[in-house]
Amino acid sequence: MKDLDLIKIENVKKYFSIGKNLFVKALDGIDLEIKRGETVGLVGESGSGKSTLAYTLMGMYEPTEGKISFKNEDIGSKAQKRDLSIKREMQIVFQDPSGSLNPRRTVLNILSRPLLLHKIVKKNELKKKLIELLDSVELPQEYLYKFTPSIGGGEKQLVAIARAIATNPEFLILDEPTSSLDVSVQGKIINTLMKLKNKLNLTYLFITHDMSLMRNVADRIAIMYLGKIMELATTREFFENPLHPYTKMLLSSIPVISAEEENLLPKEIKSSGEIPSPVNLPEGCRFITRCPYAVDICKNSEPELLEKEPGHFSRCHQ
Amino acid sequence: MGDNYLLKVENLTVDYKVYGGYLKVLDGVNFYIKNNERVGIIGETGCGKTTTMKSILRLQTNNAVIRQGKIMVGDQNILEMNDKDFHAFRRKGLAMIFQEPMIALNPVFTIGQQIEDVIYYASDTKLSRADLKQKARDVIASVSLPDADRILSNYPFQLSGGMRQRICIALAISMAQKLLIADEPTTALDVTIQAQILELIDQISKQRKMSLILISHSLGLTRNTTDRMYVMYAGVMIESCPTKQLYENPLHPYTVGLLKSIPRLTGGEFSNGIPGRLPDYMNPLPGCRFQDRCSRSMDICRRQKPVEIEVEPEHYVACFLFDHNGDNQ
Repeated sequence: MKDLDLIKIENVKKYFSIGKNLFVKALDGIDLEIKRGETVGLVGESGSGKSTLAYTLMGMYEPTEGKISFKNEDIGSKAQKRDLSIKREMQIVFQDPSGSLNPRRTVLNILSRPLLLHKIVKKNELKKKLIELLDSVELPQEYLYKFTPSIGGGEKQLVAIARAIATNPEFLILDEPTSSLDVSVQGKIINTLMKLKNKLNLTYLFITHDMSLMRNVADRIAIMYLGKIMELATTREFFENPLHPYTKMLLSSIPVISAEEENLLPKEIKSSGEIPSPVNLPEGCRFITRCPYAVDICKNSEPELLEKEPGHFSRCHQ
Repeated sequence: MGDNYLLKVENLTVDYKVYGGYLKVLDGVNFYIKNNERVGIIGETGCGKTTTMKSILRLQTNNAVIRQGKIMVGDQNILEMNDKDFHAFRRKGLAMIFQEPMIALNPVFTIGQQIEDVIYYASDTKLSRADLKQKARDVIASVSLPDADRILSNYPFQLSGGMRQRICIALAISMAQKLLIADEPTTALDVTIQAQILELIDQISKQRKMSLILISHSLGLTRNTTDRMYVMYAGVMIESCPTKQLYENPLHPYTVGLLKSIPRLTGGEFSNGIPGRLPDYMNPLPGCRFQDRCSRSMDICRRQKPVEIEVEPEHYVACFLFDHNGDNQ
């Protein structure tokens, strides 16, 4: 099974220093393997460290501790030190396309950049490849000459996706690709992403806070809370048999649009409290401040991420 | 018009003057809210939800031009009231919760000062400092925030997003007793906090028998908190009906498209959404504003603006597909 792992994250920590002996513990020991061809959904509240994990994987942050392997090779350092061939294989789509696309460049400029930098095509074949790229995200070729502020939010995100797949990557990080978009265009983005995944055999790390979306696109789901993974399971297991109290709280908070969906949500936990500051983590279990089932042991020792059922991990003493 | 109506907006048409012309944003908005009723308004970003609410509160920016329409409260038209009367009416009757609590609160005053100001200016009698403080404490307690004294002495940046939004709710309910307008109150918040805030709004509006207008762009939020829904598209209320019916039997092609594009927890396919974008407000096409995104548009949609038709009891749709009396060929 070893060779199936495309990405292996081992005990990755990222602390940001904010003063004398004060650290924001954005990632506090993450272990995660992503298999080839899989979509792993990463869910969590803001401040849980989802984006930090994405940026650390991409080499935009240097991890404080831990090891990141890609195809069994250690790559866990800054992007500048990484081999161009590894950068080509890993790409990212950011949350807000208005921020991630330069408004003073045309789509042609934006998409040519990775192609030329990574020497994917020769100059004389550039045009053909660009049209092919736009085609794969179902945008007409006249878009090449547009500046991004003149196109809609959904279309901008499609351009960002086209840019990410330009280098023929194997692994794509999607950092909340639809959360800044309207409902009426979200579907289009998701369906395009899923089509591309099948066509190009991509592996996704899909970051989102929309659980209904995860239900539809992810193979496995990981829940993050204050820099640690609290629960990890296949999507089916996850929704049918959630184990961690935090997962149940998240699930019970999902706004749904039909009675059938409502029946699927756990009822025994209601949302309460707020995510504590990642500077002063609670003693013991980090969820203790919001957990209705907390007992003495939770105050004293931090639970491990244990396999409670085959393939189903949970970080809870119960 | 029965006495039961709290507020009735009729044919409200608002333009914004911008460089190069007018943006014709609201194109004849009709809606009403009864006493003690909870109404949801949903629509995409830029469809005019906030413009409508700002018109009701008369908080419009200087470049807004109200072309026509009435906003009736009882037998008085808000738009024709003089400032003094309107302010008196607004501070007793209307309150709004804004989308982004960090922007709605003043960063250089403490929470206590801001709440006390609201209470001071909204009350008829002059209150003493001690009374003001006590009232402010009560208000903080009513939005389920612990440790009122500490919060009153804090500045907004010292509180979390969820707490700030609770403060905004506290400000809104500290005086207004009739209508609470919540303009996407949870967009900036996490799901778990969103659930808490919605429950709080739900509770307070029920307890105090306030009418509620809940504006959102997410269909999931309004389902449990409202009695009746409006769907807004490009400055027009295109469909309105009791909340349950909207989810079970949506009629307008836009509403149908929206509901289909939402991923469900039960799994199954979801559609690509609705192609295209909101129309250009500067030069909107004649006829129905949804025509170029609609999969079922007909000739008449390009010529004539659809009017609202009652298809079922209390279920109104502004679409020619349901107009069997007119010439819809």
